[in-house]
Amino acid sequence: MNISISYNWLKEYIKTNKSAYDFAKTFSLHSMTIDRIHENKNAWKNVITVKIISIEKHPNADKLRLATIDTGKEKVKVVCGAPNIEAGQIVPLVKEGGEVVGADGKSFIVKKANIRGVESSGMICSCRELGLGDDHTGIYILPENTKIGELLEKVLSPGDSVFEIEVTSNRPDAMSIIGLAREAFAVFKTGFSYKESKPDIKISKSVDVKKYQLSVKVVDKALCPRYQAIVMTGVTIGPSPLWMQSRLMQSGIRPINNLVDITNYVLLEYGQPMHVFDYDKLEGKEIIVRHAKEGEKILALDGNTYPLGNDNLVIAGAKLPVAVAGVMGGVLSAVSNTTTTIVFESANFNPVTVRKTSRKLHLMSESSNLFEKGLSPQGTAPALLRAIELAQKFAGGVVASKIFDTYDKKNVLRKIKIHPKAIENYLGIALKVNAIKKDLQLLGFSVSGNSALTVAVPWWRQNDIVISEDIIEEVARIYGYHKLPIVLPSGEIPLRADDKNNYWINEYKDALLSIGFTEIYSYSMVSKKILERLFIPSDSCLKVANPLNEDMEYMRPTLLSGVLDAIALNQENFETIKIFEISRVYKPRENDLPDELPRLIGALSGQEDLFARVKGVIDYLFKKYNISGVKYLSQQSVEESPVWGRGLFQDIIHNNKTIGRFGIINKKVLNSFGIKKDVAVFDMDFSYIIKAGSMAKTYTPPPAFPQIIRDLALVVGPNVVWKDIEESISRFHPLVNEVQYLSTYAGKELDGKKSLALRIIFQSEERTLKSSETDDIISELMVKLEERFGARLR
Amino acid sequence: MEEKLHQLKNDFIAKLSQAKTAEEARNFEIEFLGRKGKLTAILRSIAGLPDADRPKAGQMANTIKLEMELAMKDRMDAMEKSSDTAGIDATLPGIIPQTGHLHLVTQAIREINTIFEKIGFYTVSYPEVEWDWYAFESLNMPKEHPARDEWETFFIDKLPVGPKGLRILTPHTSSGQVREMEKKQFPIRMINISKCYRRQIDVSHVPMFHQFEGLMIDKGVNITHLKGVLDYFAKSFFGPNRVARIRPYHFQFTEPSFEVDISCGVCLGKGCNLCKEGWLELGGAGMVHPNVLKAGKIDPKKYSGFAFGWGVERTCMMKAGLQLPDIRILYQNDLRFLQQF
Repeated sequence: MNISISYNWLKEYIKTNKSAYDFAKTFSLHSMTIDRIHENKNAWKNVITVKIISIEKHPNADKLRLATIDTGKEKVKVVCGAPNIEAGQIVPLVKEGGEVVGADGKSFIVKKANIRGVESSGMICSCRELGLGDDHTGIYILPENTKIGELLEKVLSPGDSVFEIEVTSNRPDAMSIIGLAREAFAVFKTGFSYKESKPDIKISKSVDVKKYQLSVKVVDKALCPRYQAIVMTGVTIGPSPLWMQSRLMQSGIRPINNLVDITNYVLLEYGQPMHVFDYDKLEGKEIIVRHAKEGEKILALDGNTYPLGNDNLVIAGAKLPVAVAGVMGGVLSAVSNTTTTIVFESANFNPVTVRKTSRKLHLMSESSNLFEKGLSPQGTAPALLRAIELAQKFAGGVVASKIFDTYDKKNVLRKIKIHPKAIENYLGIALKVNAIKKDLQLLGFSVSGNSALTVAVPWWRQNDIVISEDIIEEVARIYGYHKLPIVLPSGEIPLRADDKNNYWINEYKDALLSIGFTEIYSYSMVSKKILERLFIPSDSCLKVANPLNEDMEYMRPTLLSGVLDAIALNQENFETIKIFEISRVYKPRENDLPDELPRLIGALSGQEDLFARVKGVIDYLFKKYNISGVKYLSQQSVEESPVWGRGLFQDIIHNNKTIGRFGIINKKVLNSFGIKKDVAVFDMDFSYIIKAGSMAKTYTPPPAFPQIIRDLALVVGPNVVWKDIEESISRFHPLVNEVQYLSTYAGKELDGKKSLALRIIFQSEERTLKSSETDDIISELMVKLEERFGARLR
Repeated sequence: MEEKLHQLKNDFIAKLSQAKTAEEARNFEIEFLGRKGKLTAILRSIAGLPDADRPKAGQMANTIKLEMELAMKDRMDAMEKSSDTAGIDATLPGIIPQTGHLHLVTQAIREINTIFEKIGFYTVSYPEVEWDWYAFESLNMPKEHPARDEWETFFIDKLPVGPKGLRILTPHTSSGQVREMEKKQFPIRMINISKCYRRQIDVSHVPMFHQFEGLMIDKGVNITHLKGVLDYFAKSFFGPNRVARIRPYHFQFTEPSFEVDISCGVCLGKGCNLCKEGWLELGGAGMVHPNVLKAGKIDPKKYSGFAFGWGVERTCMMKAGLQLPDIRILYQNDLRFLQQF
């Protein structure tokens, strides 16, 4: 979680002369990362404090008003649209030449302007327009006693910087000024000056105790281990001091009034969320921490009404809930301008409850952010004391009750034993025992022993320091990871032969790359619509329970949609498309992990002879990886394979196992993907191919005698298939070494027949063949071919 | 006669030398050496010479004919040679053979694997649809642990379906750690690169992405070794002038935990507007938490180890200096994008 805090505020607790930059640089190497430094120095130019003397209507515009203001030197008129200004208020005025942040987040320079016929000398602004946080609901009103005519930065926080710090989720104790100052103490080892507040908590003699009765009851102690409360009376509601407002705004919190500001100030300073109730609005003068009842609702301080249920923890009066425990207070008991008596709450809530409630209600706050990380019940007391102190100082309150406290646990600090040798084993170097002890002590641990150390964990680290390795981390980071040596591990190199996947994935990808294919990666999740297009019942697929959207509801059972989507996307820009993907498909298994089956898919489009080309690709792959004996079997049953073109696909069979399929995709399917041209696809079981393939090298000596080549053109009937011709010729004579297909021709003059051009290669291993020999073989062959196929030479 | 023949030869050679194309040259060949050509006409006239002169003239004519034929051949050869360049617009673009392209992610994965292979790491692959146990619980994140919120996890089940809990889409490659430990083969030097899934999609997030995870477990492994491996990787992958450093961080499954930075390639660590004070964040790392070792049935007193892991896409972008305004382009399969690499 990132928090923003004022460097000046931090320096109230840690003495340092370092510049913000130097502080951040070193701090980040040992503790939390300071992501950004916002310099506050020159935040404003030409912005001064002024007093509104009178307000009148703008003569020419209903929604605008005309304020006469006193700049301390002169009286000028300013046009303003915000409804919250009144005569007597002190506000910041951006004079001509000053800078203001516009609604679009960009700055602009204020100029003398004529607004609907009236001259306006500058601009009075909201917090956001001044670059002070996000509030733009109205003009930023300064406290009454603010000096007028002063530069705003002089009044607010001169020369400050704001740190944006990423505090890791295990360290809620460091999500505060005190916590960060303590970290800085260990890092820089200079003056940490935090002391617990000691306000006067005796009930004031002027107070009639009977008038301020309160009962505090916690129903479920597991969910609320500690609840502290105190009644204070005689408070005056008003703005908090400027420095306090400024610090809240630097942390992104909007100032409200002195009492609410105090609770937020303590939250930032101590990391302990607090709440303030109007005592007079508490039903029955009771505080009950209980589960919400089904159907209960609460109007929260953010102005929204939230429905509550039994799993939400609430703070309630006699009947109705007044706050969602640890998350947000309700409007019902909120302090207002007329409040005179208050109850401060400083409590500890179970992190899981707060987190669940916050998630369920979609309601997050600074308070819930802290509680859900897990805070120590011991943190409530110092925070409450600090709040009492601030309320006495800045709201005129006096104590009107005892401090109610439901805590009944004895505090036993966890002790962890650790030997310096164990630290050395982790760090690779030996640190001096005294240095180890000192660093731990700076962080608040108490350490005893000289060789074997016993380390007592301070209460604010009880959740995150549990085992000796946690102590090692503390020692190592304060020493500095960046100071440790850099050593490449020696030792045994493990040899594992079992993962061949990568090797084969690389091989096949390179093979396809070399013949011009481009690799695609598509999402593993597909939509129901896609499955329907491919005739796959969605209930046979693995469904994601919380998909991101409808397009990604099912784990894909096929890679086909990926290549088809890609072709549809690219068809306008590319004449020819050749793509492939190697990835897993998912086959569900009852109450078990699905089978994740790697597949290789390839697709071609935009070329002639697609079928032959796709077949050529797989022939090439099988030959390259020594997979022999592959058969292609025509599948005629369209019903079983509706995505393929009728009679335009074949199964790939190896050792009687179907290992894939190739062919032309059905036109209707292509239409449903918006594809205009034919697409040929091969889709294979990649894990089978890996097992069947080998990189074994074989050697055949080149023939010692010359070969004789004869090209023939055979005219045959239209139904004669190549495979039969090829087999007949191959087996016809032992001197026939190879039969190659050249081309097919079917012209009008052939009367519906076709002409197959082919090449016969004659080869003997023993002698040089004579031309006449082969002529004789061909003559005999023709007799046989005519007999079997009615073939004649063309 | 003799003079006539020499004159004919000289005429022929002169004309040949002016021929600009093979066709022109061949026309001259026909004109002079053809069946109805000029030489043939002279040869015919030899028959009308006196007997005594005929043998000499015949011999002479044959010599001249041979010379002319040689001249023709030379000229044709010369023209053939020069035709390699002549008559061609050499500024026309070359015809580029059709080439394939590997996806950027594949290219990055290969490079990463190769780098770690050199220092004895082997690759493994584990399920993408994984048990909650391996993805969270065994990694020191019991049920309800708030750290689980840091992963926007996709679930298959709403309720546990077995002793290992729910089935989920693994949000990180760390789910391979305990699986590798369960093999009980030591030492472990594993690189696990896999698809991972998180419920996020915007210009800088894709719901499916790739991570790589390194895990080393052996006797006596300490932080300096992790620093050694990270620095070796930084130098091998990004360049010999780069260095890696580690800073404190927090992960549930490592203790101590680190954030890994690499020195900026532009300013080399001095600080510029591309980096944070000279450093770029690379990802997370740490010493394997004893609870994780125990979950993998390894005795933390005997063995120790470190793990590191981060996004392949991000690492690849950082190296290439690519600023993809929208990372989703990686998985849209637009060939105009894919064929640039």
